[in-house]
Amino acid sequence: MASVSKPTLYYFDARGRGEIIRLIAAEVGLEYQEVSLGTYNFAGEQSQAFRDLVASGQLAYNQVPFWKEPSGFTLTQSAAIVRHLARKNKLYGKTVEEESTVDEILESIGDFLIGFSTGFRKVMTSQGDEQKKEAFEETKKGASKWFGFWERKLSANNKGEGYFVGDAITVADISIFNAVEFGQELANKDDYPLLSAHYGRIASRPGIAAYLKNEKRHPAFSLKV
Amino acid sequence: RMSTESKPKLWYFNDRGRPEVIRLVAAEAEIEYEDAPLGEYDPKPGAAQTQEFREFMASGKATYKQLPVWEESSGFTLAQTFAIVRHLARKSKLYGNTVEEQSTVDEILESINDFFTPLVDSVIKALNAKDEEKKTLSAEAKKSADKWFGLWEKKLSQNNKGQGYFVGDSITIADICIFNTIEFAHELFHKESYPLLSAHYSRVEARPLISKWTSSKKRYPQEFFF
Repeated sequence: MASVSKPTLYYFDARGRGEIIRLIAAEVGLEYQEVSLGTYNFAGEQSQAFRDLVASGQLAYNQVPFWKEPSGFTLTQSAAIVRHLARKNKLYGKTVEEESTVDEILESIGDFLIGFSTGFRKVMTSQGDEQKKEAFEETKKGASKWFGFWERKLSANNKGEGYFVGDAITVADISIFNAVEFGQELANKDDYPLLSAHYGRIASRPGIAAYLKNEKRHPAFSLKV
Repeated sequence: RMSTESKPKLWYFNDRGRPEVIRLVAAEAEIEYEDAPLGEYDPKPGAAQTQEFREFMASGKATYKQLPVWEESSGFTLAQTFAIVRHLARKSKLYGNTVEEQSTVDEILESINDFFTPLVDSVIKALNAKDEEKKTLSAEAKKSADKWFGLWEKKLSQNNKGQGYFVGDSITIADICIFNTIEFAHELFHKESYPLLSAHYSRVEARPLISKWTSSKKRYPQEFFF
């Protein structure tokens, strides 16, 4: 029986849309528990655990990740959960303008993820190397413009040597890290020096560094043949 | 009276489009702004768009080379429709009264994006399509609409039996964004199938500041896509 003293994350055994939540929790030292919904199935039905959760009526849009707090408060939509954790942990900037700029960056990452996850799905469901290669190239084409935008956005704040917004870490920095980690096969690090250095800074923050080394972390999937 | 110089600018094409939700929120929030149109939108793939659009893109103000852009007189600029909507909500208490309410508002906005973004893609395709393809696109859009309208009908029913607002006991951007979504997708919405949503739509529409905007001569005309 799951303990009710900690928040619970319900998601598949994958990084996917749940990973950003795990990274934020690692950064702020938030203890939570996970309920596994099994392996994600790209083509066809999901696990019994997932279907039971849908049938329970707790999912507002029949989607996961699903976040449940000891108070009974529940939330879906990863970007909403990200903002929720930001609010509760001072990761949202210090002024209205900073908050809104964090939102802008989160929205841009959402745009990137739509293209990336479509491409990712195509790669994972490809029949044979030729199809896989084609899907990879298509994904690469869509993604690279975002790296360029983020490099420029970063450069406009403290010459790109600190954070994306203001003078302290926000969920924008962690979400960019997550996006770049997903898309790292799609671009050449050397083309985005500020973004790469930022990536390294986030990766070496104590909470996140410990999480990245954790054996329990779900593995990455390569998009390459 | 505020001088024109100090009003923020909303940069977009001359139609309702994605930023109409910003115009609706600004109306309810009583935030004055200036529409800064960049000409007629050309939906053809790879279209160059107008001279004004290209000049605006070259100005560096469009961080992601997209519209809309919200530009304040301080120089603060913001891209991304839903970031701008949240920005206006923050400045005017249209975001809910607790952390949990704010996060539930966010969840609804994200769900709207899940429906709206593919719909906009479909709509652009439909503008370029011949009758046969248009029919297919329309059927797909209708299927998606039925799914999401059904989910929002359910969501609404869970707050004060659907007799009030989507979140808490007062209006938020969640209510206005749902109103805008139904208005945008009016060709796909069957009132009779969604009684709570329909009544909610009417309540939002009847709010003085909203109805002042929706009946304004400055408002771009209703769009028909399918």
